[in-house]
Amino acid sequence: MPSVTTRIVSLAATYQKDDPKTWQEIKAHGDAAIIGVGHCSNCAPAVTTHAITLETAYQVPTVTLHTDKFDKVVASVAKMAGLPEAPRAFVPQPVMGKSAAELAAYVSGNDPITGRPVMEEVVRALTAAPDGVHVGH
Amino acid sequence: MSAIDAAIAGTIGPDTEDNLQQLFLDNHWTDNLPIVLPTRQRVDAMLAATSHAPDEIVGRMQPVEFRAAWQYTVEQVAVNAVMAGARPDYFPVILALAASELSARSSSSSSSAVMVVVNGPIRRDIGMNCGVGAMGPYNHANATIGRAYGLLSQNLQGGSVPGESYMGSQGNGYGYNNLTFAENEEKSAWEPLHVQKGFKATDSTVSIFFGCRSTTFCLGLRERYWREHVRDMLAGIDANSAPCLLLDPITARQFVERGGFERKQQLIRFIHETAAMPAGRYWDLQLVQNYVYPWATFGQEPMATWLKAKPDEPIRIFPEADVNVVVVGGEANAYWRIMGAKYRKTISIDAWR
Repeated sequence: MPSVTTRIVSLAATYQKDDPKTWQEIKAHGDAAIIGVGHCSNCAPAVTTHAITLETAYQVPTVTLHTDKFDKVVASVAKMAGLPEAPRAFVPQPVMGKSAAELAAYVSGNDPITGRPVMEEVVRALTAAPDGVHVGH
Repeated sequence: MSAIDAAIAGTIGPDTEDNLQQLFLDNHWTDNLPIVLPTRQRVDAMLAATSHAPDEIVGRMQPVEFRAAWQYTVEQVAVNAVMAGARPDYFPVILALAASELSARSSSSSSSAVMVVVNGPIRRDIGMNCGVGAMGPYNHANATIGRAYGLLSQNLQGGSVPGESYMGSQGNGYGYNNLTFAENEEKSAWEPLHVQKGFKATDSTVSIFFGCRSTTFCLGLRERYWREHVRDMLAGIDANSAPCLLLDPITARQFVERGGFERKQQLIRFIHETAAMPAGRYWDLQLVQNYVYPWATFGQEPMATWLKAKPDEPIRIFPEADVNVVVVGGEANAYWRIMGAKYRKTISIDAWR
């Protein structure tokens, strides 16, 4: 997607805190956000919660990226937060300890939950209207 | 409808005991051991052991941060207390645990567990064990109070099913009764834990620690190298947690004799000063990278100062305020352990009588 400019933005501190300054910056300078990566029992719910904040309080189209082990956990978090269709895509577990090349292969590979290409899921999540059903399922 | 609500409403119809046990098992409402079926009569007997109304809200609980917190009543706690096999006179202790709002079924992928320390006169009133075998399966109150805490956590926080709502990668055997024991106050060299936390000696309390993934263990304190041996033990405690010394009374007295720790706080300071690691090695730990480093970059002390240390400069990895000491055991020998467990809170049991 040569016409799309991407920028990596780190949270101001830990995922355990809300980060209004960063959300404001994304809203001011960006058109959409990909948040990740949820790969543990604490961070996966946090990633989903922050994405819903960005989507609903800042009106920034947002998709989350998680490892597949946490699909049920994040589905529960999204449902309880009132946005069960919150867009999400998955890569294999683990991401910790993997090289940049291995991680790139995850992204260019298939979503282990749906079997469809990860980037196709991401693009669809950011450009299509939620259909009321979790995009990844 | 959950089992708890169904049991309260009486909508689980009459059936054979085997079928009812199977029903609870199939719905993930147990710890996979047989339960005491929560009949109306048994739940009412439990409820009669507190002055609090059955529909009073006790608290809200969640398996980890950012997951939904579920609310529960005295009656819902009573159902779980019955299921665990607890006697009614244990119920105020179980209610205090529920009121902590700390889950004994954390979904942390680290497979954390909790540890419960009971202090004050209620230890004797309900026959808890603080002596020989206190941390093992040898006392009815210790066993069933701890089990009730686990059952109420999983059933009242919205479930704890592996792969769905529980993600502890390896699991933790302490979860069966959550290391529930009484402190051996009578044989301790120092003031009991709850007094240290601001309660009166005559108060009855539960204190909850979180972690219980790392343990080191030793026999006594040798005259020549005891300081070094303690340092070696502390190196085995996960750096994202905190050391809680579990001392047999014999060892507690040895710490006084060897180190001159007439006050517990002196021993705590010694532990804080002894647990050191070169900064470069400390910051390279994955647990520290994940859970300490972000707070340090956010400016939280003392971690923010540690970030300024040179790679070979030793830093004291456990803040003094995070170190705890509990005396437990029956003087069968001077064995003692350090549990990697962070203190969370102390709750009054008297408030739930």
